[in-house]
Amino acid sequence: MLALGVTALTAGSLAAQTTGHTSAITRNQNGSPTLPAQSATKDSAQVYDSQALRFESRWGSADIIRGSKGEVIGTVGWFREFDLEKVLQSSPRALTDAQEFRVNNFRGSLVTAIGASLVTIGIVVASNNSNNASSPILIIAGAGGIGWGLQHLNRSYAALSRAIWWYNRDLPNR
Amino acid sequence: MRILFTACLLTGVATMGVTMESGGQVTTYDERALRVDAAPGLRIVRGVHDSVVLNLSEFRRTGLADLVASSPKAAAAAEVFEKNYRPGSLFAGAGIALFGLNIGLSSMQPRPWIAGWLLPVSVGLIVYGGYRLQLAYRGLQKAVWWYNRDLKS
Repeated sequence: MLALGVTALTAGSLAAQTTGHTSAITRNQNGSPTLPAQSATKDSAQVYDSQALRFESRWGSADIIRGSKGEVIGTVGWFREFDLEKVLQSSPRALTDAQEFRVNNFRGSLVTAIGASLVTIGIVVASNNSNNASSPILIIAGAGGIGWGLQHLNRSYAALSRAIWWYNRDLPNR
Repeated sequence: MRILFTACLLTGVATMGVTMESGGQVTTYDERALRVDAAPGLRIVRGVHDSVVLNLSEFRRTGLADLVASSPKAAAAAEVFEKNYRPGSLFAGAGIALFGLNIGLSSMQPRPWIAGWLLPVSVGLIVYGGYRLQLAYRGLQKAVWWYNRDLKS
């Protein structure tokens, strides 16, 4: 019986130690947070201020921005190369989404560019007053390519948004 | 002895309770943080389960400012989004429609006189609409970032 009691007490002590001693003293008797908890929250907010990422679109590209001061650490988008995966490597789920972004962004950029080229050629052929049957085919095929490519670009930015969300979520002190 | 055992057991359980309560604070971001989702259509989702909290319509006020009202900086950025998203969508949409009309007219013989004007006007509308949309998207991303940041403080 005594052994069981000691075991229970030890388990309780260990639990208190593993959560850090702050868990026992961060709340007063009313349950409201006291100074250590506020300090931890402040630390977390400071980490977010300096480390958290977001992206801002800029004419077909997106600037990756870190922190509240808006430091641009790279640009991704239409055929723009930036090692996003290296930046996000501290978060495994962010890394997975960053890979999805890279694949979809390349496909989307490539097919949209081909589609836009076909539409342009189609318009030029049609505006030359030549009765060339290829112009409607070029325009329709190009528009289809643009639509398909934009769909992939859309998917890529959804993946980028997810990747950054997970990265910010997995910042330390959270 | 039984009393001592019960007291020890209760102490252990109480301490573990504090642990669980402390862990609950950590999940605030998981439960409440927002994210912009782009497929299909623009929408705001919340938390790890991606529950949709707002669909951003091009044709009416979206309510983003109300959603992030708890954070003053996020609300200010949301107003930038509200101010630019609808006009940007309308101008860009009109430009794309005129561009399509221009393609249709360009194959007609003889070409209508208006076809010469349609291309520059449509390109101008698309560029201006795109500029306004870009301002809107920046405001949107900032609003979400500040809202998530203020979950910490």
